[in-house]
Amino acid sequence: MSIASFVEKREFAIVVALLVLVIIFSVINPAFLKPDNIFVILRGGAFMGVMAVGVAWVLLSGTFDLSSGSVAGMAALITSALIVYEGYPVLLSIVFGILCGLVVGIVNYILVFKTHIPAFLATIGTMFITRGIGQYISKGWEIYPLPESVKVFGIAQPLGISWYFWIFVSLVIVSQLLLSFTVWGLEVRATGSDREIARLTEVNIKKVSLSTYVICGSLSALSGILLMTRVSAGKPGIGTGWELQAITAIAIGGVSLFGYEGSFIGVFLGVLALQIIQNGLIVVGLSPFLNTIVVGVILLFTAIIDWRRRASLMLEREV
Amino acid sequence: MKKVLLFVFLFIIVFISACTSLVESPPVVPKEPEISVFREAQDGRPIRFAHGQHGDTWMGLMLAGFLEACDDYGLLCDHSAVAGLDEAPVISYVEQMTSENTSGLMIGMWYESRYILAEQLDKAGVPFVSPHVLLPAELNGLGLAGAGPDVDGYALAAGRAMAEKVNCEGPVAFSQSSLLPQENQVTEGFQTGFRELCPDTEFLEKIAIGPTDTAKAIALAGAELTAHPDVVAAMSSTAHGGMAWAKAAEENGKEPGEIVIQGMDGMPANLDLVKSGEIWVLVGQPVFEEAYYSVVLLVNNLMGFPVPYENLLPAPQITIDNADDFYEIVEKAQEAALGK
Repeated sequence: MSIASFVEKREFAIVVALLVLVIIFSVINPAFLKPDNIFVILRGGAFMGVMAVGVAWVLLSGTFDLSSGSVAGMAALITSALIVYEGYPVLLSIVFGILCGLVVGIVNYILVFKTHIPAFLATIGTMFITRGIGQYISKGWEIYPLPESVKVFGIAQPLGISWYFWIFVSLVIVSQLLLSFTVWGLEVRATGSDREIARLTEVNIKKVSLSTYVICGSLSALSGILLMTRVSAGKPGIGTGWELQAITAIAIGGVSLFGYEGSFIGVFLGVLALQIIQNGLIVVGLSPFLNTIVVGVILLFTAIIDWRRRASLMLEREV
Repeated sequence: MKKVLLFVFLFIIVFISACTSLVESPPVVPKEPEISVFREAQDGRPIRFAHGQHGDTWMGLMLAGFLEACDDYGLLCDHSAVAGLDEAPVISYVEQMTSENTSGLMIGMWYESRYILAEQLDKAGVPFVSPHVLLPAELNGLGLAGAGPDVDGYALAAGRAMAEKVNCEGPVAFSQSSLLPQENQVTEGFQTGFRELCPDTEFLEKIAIGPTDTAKAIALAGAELTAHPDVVAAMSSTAHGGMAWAKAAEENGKEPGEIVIQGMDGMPANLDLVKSGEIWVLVGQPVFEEAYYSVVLLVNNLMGFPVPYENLLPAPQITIDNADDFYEIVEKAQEAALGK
């Protein structure tokens, strides 16, 4: 890829914006650039980042999932309940928790593609159901204590960061490779671009959509389970509001909410942007309540850029 | 004759309850057959608990206190079970209440937005008790009673204890979930208590870590600790704040106890952190007890006995030495909630 083509890419704009933020924060307080703080930033976004990778797949395929935060909470509570109440081995419980997320992904697919309920409504429905299942299991209580092995995993800091961060990075890399270099990745994009054209070019839209919903459900479950291991308890609040944070990070990262356009490098940068804003405001001593305002402004800014780009593309096609 | 004896017995029990309502423990729970009398007095009108945050552990503890009291007294009870922090469904639940369908309401007056409901409830003839916070002066005497901890008292005591523990060293970091009036009151009380002994210690600006998202709370606390690596103590006025500071300290390579952490509430995971030395002390707000006691006050009112307007309950400091006692309370409440 030439420098000129990289500069034209959406990711370049995000990198520039991030650099500007980093410079501002580090000029106000040089402690912002200390390795310890960089590690805090990298660690902090990993949980929601894992979910964001899954949600990005769904968005790229041109549909939507608002249940992901609740799926994270439900999976964490099911997993911890299996370990604590039923005495199941940790790994088996984690696999079961992820499978629960996978099942929710299948349910979402059936609701959207078989019963033709709009994705927005269908996944709001499953959002409530999965949050309710979590609450029913926990009855509002933390499920604890988890075994020592879970805690050991939670506090480990390979290469100074955390397993969570490396899992997130691995998922970003694998997803980017799948998206860029496989037929399936192309089919996901094609489905997200225009379903009719994709169908005409013999893309199995239902199969593609099922796979993205399954990935989203599974990774959402994994994100909740990861936080469970970090705090050594199944906490009922896990995943609350994460779906919107994930969508925000994805949008900032340049994945179009209308499908097709975007990359997982962008998702990574979007997650990083949220963490940098959140962390930077604390480090420079500004009110953390500004965080929400700044994120909102950046989200609107990226949405406007996205909308203008699409409008100009449509104009070019017409010409 | 039996009825008269029963009434006399009941009168004695409730009278004792009323007289001891200022004492800092719930009264003796009456056994059968008195229970049926309470339910008869309700005449099909439940005692209700209007609350949000359903599914949150802190609220789970409060709900467990409410339900256990309902069970002990054989009462007809109901609660709103509204998830999240959205006040609209809570308000909607309260607005459906009349004296014909409610014999008493438990609603925490910790949001100023709930003050407006007091007038509505008063007009509807529904007596209400506020757990956790006493009824504020702004209500001008509306409402039956409040049952909660002495916030200024425990915050001052915690601040003084922390000052002694760190030998007036600083800086000290602070976190709140948001800027709720009671949380502000706790932080200010803590700072006042600390300043009494150590007027020159540096206090950092308090940070808001949110009420439920632990991942975000840890990240924010981590940012504060890396920006101020010389922090010697951290204080939080919210239930998951202690854990956030402890995990952030751990991620910053601090040994347990290297940063002296004060948190709130004897939640199970918090107690574990006290036992491991990662949290030095928790303020044990009597969340379960104040809910239980609020129902007791409503029962007293139901039976026509006077109810004290202000009821203070103790908020002990939980340290490694007495943490085991609190596991017992939490596990009992948890078992009740889980139906074990």
